[in-house]
Parts: sequence; structure tokens; C-alpha cells
Amino acid sequence: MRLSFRINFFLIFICGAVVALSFSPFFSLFKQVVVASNPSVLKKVFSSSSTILAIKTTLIVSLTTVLLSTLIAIPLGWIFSRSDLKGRESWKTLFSLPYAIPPYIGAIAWIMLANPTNGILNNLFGLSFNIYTLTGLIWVMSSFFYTFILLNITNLLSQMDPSLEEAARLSGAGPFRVFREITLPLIRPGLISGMVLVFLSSSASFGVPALIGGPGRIFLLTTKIYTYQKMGSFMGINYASILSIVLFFVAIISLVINSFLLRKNSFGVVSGKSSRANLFALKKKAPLIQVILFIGLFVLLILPIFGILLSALAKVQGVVSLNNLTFQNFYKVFFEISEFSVAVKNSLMVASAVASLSVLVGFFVVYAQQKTRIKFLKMTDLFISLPYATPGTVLSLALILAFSGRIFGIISLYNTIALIGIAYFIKYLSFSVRALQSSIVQIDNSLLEAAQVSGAGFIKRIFSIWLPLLKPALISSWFLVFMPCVSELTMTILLTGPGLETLGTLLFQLQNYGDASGGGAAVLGLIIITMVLFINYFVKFISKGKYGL
Amino acid sequence: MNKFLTSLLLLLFISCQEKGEAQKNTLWIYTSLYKDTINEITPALKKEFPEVEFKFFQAGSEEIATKVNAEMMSGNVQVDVMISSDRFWYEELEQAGKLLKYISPKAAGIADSLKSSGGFYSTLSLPVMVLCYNKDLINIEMLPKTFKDLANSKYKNLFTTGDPLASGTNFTTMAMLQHHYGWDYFKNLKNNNTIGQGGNSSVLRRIQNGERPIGWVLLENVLRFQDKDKRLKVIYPKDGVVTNNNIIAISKDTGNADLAKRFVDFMYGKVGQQQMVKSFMYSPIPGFAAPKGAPEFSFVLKNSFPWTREFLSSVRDSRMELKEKYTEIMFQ
Repeated sequence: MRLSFRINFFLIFICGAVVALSFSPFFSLFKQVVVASNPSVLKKVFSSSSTILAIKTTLIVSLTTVLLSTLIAIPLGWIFSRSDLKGRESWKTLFSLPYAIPPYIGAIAWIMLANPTNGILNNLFGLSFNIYTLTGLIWVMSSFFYTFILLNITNLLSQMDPSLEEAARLSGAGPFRVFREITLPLIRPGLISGMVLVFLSSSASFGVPALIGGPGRIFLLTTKIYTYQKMGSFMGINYASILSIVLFFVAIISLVINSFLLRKNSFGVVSGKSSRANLFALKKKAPLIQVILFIGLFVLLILPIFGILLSALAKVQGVVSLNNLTFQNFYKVFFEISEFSVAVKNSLMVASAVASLSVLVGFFVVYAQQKTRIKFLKMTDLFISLPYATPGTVLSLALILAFSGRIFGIISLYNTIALIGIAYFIKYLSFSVRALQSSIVQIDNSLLEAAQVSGAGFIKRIFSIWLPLLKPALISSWFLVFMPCVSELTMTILLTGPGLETLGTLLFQLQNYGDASGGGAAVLGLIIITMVLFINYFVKFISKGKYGL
Repeated sequence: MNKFLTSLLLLLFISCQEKGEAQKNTLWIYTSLYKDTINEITPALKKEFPEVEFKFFQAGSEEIATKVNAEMMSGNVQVDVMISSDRFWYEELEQAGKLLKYISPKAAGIADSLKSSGGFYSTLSLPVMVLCYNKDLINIEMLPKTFKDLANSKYKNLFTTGDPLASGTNFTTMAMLQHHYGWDYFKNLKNNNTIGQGGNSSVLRRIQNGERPIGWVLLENVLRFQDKDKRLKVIYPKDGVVTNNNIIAISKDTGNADLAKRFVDFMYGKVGQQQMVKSFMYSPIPGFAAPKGAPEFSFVLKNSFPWTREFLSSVRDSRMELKEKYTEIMFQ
């Protein structure tokens, strides 16, 4: 599509600014670290046997997590958007909820439930689950990360022109064949970018591996980076930063594969000539599927929440009995912890500001990449994904280095909430970009050309074509950014300062310091989940059920 | 659209911008003291320093080290006073010339072994690492008497520690035990499926919920629970408790040296030290009572692993190797 010079300039400007912002912390870090250290240090870091082991284990864990997440997400996505299952909207919301639970909290719950010594499941049912294993780690990660894929593909499926599938079905293809030959190729962009996101998330995540990998003796790249960074010495910081370069490369490779796969065949499938989808009749299988879904939900969501609830209501941790139940943990969090209201305010403010900005900027970035002919803008994608693939602790360190000075000699962002906002923005921008990418790919150029021919300008086209068609994707990408920001912990812990408490840092406080019953963290976890639920339902309510998870 | 975006960005920055200018009478204190300790001492601080705004950043020792190191690398140091429990880090800072030379006159009475030899930092309070067990979950005759006992295979699946990578006091304990018992001790701990994860509160939670009924943990963490959870019992190991040093030091780059010194003096004064005791740590200054529920300090001193200059400097220089070796044993 041909766009005017002014618009092209504007798009280049946005992409340039985003790339500069995303890359600025790494620039300071590299300047500080890589240039300063000599080749022998590099050699020492990369040739040690533990580094190689860490890389190997990280690859195994991440790839298996991607596989398992995909296996969970695809059937769910199909049932929620293509079958006539009763209550599939509610099912969809429920199955999307694990996205809103910080995986860190989830890991704590799973340890309570399935640790080999006295896991509640093991005690109650005489089972012998062991969460401290490779399988356990992959399970816990997948049980949260599958939502990345699910949210991506249900969006696509609900937007997709169903006539293609109908045509196939009318020509006599069975449901599996239709799925394999029509639906799957069409949702491929969303599927692949969801899978890449899962891969990046699991290779750079630290919270879950720390809790489970420690006792399970599972040694990952992030564990190693953490080890270096927590040496407490300047040398350690150097080593940690050098090692996170490995994760950069992991990110770069997976993103190159991503764009290669997307380029191979991209279709415009949303053509504006949409009709209501003919839903696949489940008939007699419907009850069976309801039961399977319930069991799935029970395992993925209800069990861990039950674990958190038990911890939140406990007078002392570890005693499961009626007279150990109390609401004093709730009372304490609400009324006795003075930072609570500050933390709620800060978290909501930063998360919603960052989410809105990410959606706005993300839209223009994807637009620039896909609907202009400027080749080098495609690289934007790569740069904005680098922060996501970097462990939070390294990223926040880099941000301190980059932003502790004064900008234009006027203001210093260090120890202000703005820097926390910037950290969230550069880390999670790729979420909104990825979510929008798969939807924008699908919008056929014919629509835009038609509008352009009819004389609609750039802004008019945005409001009359993009906004209406992309609304579900825009809103869900807003949530995709908002939720992890609301409870972010790893970066915030280094960037926070007096008066800058967030829900994540408060959670960390309660988890780690003199908290009477140890239930405070669980209470906060519940509050976060409830809050996100409430916002979700509020959005659903005002949009009459159209938007939200 | 362009204008809209710019104004949105501006709005974000402006609305988030707190008072950017550092005021003359602001003191930044980074500390690993627990939050309630800070909250409890704040009224007295306000009374003593009515004109000063105290900004507390509270986090674990290693978080503080990372944040301060990053500030020092960037050349833009915000912190004025640091209080945390990784003494070896302060040794390194002293060596690198990052600390202001100051020992409070009020700290004159504390033992030499609790101060930097060059006069750059001193011990504000002493947390003590002991063993703790859940009496409902373990037989009396099974109880360990020493740290060393726990290497015995009969403690398989029974013992937990904190993570020396995440917690300063756990690192100190690890270094001390390594110094005396060598790496074989930790290999045995590993073979016993010892869980070494999180800070002291995580350890205590594992003891409470029975995942591991015995653990090494700070005495203060147990004493905080003495009225709430009667199942928790303390063992003072016969081979010695590990005393940790909660260090206070002033950054060399502080723009407010006089105020920082006055603050250090305050912390060594009666109010400051009583607060340390109230928070279940020992005061290094002779004459202060032991924390509630804890034995006399003389008992602890007599039964603790010794802090020698040689230990201090060897750990300072090999800190990285120690942590790496520990990781290697525990994970591989």
C-alpha cells in the first residue's frame, strides 16, 4: 500500500523511538560490561561446563513447555470458538484466567499441593507427585503459559471468515480434516507468535525456576545469571550481563524463525464480507466435553487457587484444620499494612498507563511493519523483543545504568515511578505487538485500498476500518500487558524506592519478611486475582460481553 | 494523532514525576532491616530530626548490594547510608574506596572484631543463625545437636536452609560452615535432599508446614513467632551458632555527610539500640539486654564460630568462587 510521506515519516519516527527506548538499557550495559571485560573473561564464562549444562537444560525446558502449552491451548481454542458447546464464553474466560495469576504465586500453590514430603494432594489421596522435577517445572510453567497461545488463537478464530471452513465442510471434509487443512494454516500466525512468546517467557523466567528448580536441582540459564548477579560484586554483575547475551541470541534466533514462518504464507482472511460462523455441533459428545473441561479447569485453576486460599486463611502455615482458619490475614493486609493502598494505587496507575501506551504504540509498530513497504521497519520487532527475552533482574540493572543520570540535565527518572513504567513498557510492549500482529496480518489489504480509493485519509481509515475490526484484539492486548504489570516483581524490586511500593514488591515483602502467619502473601495474591477478575468483568459488562478475556 | 501521542507521553512522564530535585535535608537509607523495625523507629526519628525527610528503601541484603553497585557503576549515587547483613560486601566496598570513614563515638564500646579495621563501617546489631525444628513433626531423639550432625544421612528429607545466593545471613552461614567443614559437608547436605531456597522466612515456612521439619534460620525469625506458633523450638548448636553482622556504613558520595553521621549516631544511641533488641537482634554495645526469649549475649558469644580477620579477608576475596562452587554442588 502506498502511504503519504508524512505518514511514513510518522511511522518511522514511532518505530525509531521505540527501538531507541528498548535498546537504551542494553547500550549502557554493553558499554559498561562487554567493552570493559577482556576476552579471557568471555572465554571463562562461555566455556564453563555449568554454562553449557544451563543452556542445554534451558532449551529442553522451554521447548517442552512450548509443546505442552500448545497441546493444551489448541483444543481449547477450537472448542471455545468453533463448537456449539453450552457456556463456551464462560469456559473461555475461566480458562484464560491463569494468565492473571502471577506464575510465582502459582508455583507456591503447586509446591503446597504436590511437594513430595507433605504435598496436600499426596497426603489426601495417597499419591506420590513430585513437583520438584523437570516434569513438575514444565507442568507449572505450561499451566500458566498456555494462556498466551489460547488468547492469541481464540482472537483469531473469532475474527476469521468462517466461509472457508464451511466450504470445506460442505465439500465433505470431516471436522478434523477441516481443522488440519483449513483452520490450522489460517491461525498459524497467531499460533506461532504465541509459541514464540511462550518460548521466550519460559527461557527468561526466573520466579518459577527459583522455587521449583532449587529443590529439584534443575540448573537453568536464569539460575546461573541470578547466581552471578547475586555475587554482590562488580565482577558478578559483569558476568551476569555477559551471560544474558546468550538469551539475546536465543531471542533473536526464535524471532527470525518466527518472521520466516510468517512470511512464507500470510493470508488476508478477514475481508469484511464476514458471516456468522456455523458452529460445529458436538451433539452427544457435549456432556463428555463439559466433564473434560471441568476436570481441566479444576487442575489448572481451582486447585492452585484452593492452595492459595488455604494459605490465606491459615492462622499458622501448614496446619489443615477448621480451627486454624482465620480472617486475620485479610484484616492485616487491608487495615494494618500502611503501604497497601499506596501499592494498589501505584500498580493500577502504572499498569493501566503502560497497557494503554503499549496498545497505541504497538498498533503503529505493527502497522508500519505490515502495511508499508519500508523493509527495515520489520527489524523493529526484533529490538522490542529483546527486553522481553532478558531476565528482569538484568534488565532493571541496565535501566538503572541508563537512567540514573539526568535527561537533558533536567530530571532524573531514577527512583521515580516513571522508570518503573518504562521498565514495564519496554518489557511488555512485545506482548501487545504480538497480539496485534496476528490480527493485523489477517486484515486484507483490499479493505484499506477500497477505503483509500473512496478518499478516506489515514486517520479516517484508522477509525473506520482498523478500530472496528481490531477492537477485540486491541482490548485483549491491553489486558495482555496490564496483567503482568499489575503484579510484576523481578524488575520492580530493584527499581522501587520510598513511596513507590507496588503490589509485586508488597507481595515480596510479605513473602520474605516477618509476617506473622505467612498468609499475607497469599492474601495479596488473591487480591490481585480478584482485582483482575473484577476489571475483566467490568469491561465485559460495559461492552455487553463483547470484550475482555 | 502525533500531537495526541506526544502529549500522552508527556503526561505519563509528568504525572509520574515526583519531586525530582534532591533536597538538602533528605537522607536515603537502603536497608535490609525488616519493615516493622523501620516503622517502629520512625516516630523517634521524626522527633530527633524534625527537619529531615528519611527515605527508606527496604529489600534483602543482596538486592541492596545489586542496587548500590549499579548506582556506583553509573556514577550517580543516591544512597547515603546502608544497613545490611553481608559484611563481606562492605569489605569489598571499603577496599574499592566507596565508603566514608566514620565510626560513631557511641560505638566506641563495641568489640574490635565487629568493626572494619580501617574504620569505615561497624556492626549495628547481631542477628544469630541457629537451628529450629517443628516439635510436632520430629522425635526428640532424632534432634541434631550440631550443624555438623545434619550431614548425617539420617536427616535425609528433613533439613532446609535459605539460599546463600539470595540472603546475606545465609551466605555468611554457608561460608562459615564451609570454612570449618569443607565442601564435603555441603555435598552431604545435597545428598540429604536439603532444600536451600529463599530467605529466612521461607525456611521458617517450610519448618512450619512440615515440608522440612528442621532448618537453619535466624533466631529473630523464630522469636517473632514465639507467642503465635508454639510448635517452633530453637536448638543452639553445640559446634557454635553463627553470629551475623548487620553493618551500618556511609557512602563516600553522600552529599550529606553530617546528617548521615548524625543518623548513625542516633542508631547507636539508646533508642536505636533498644529498637534493635526489640526486633530480636543483639546489640553490639555492652549493657543492653538480650532480646525477649533469647539467651544472654555472653552465652551466644561463648558458643559461636569465631570471626577472624583471616576468615573475613579470605571470604571477601573468594566470595564469587564460594557462591559458584556452592551452586555447582547443589545443582549439578
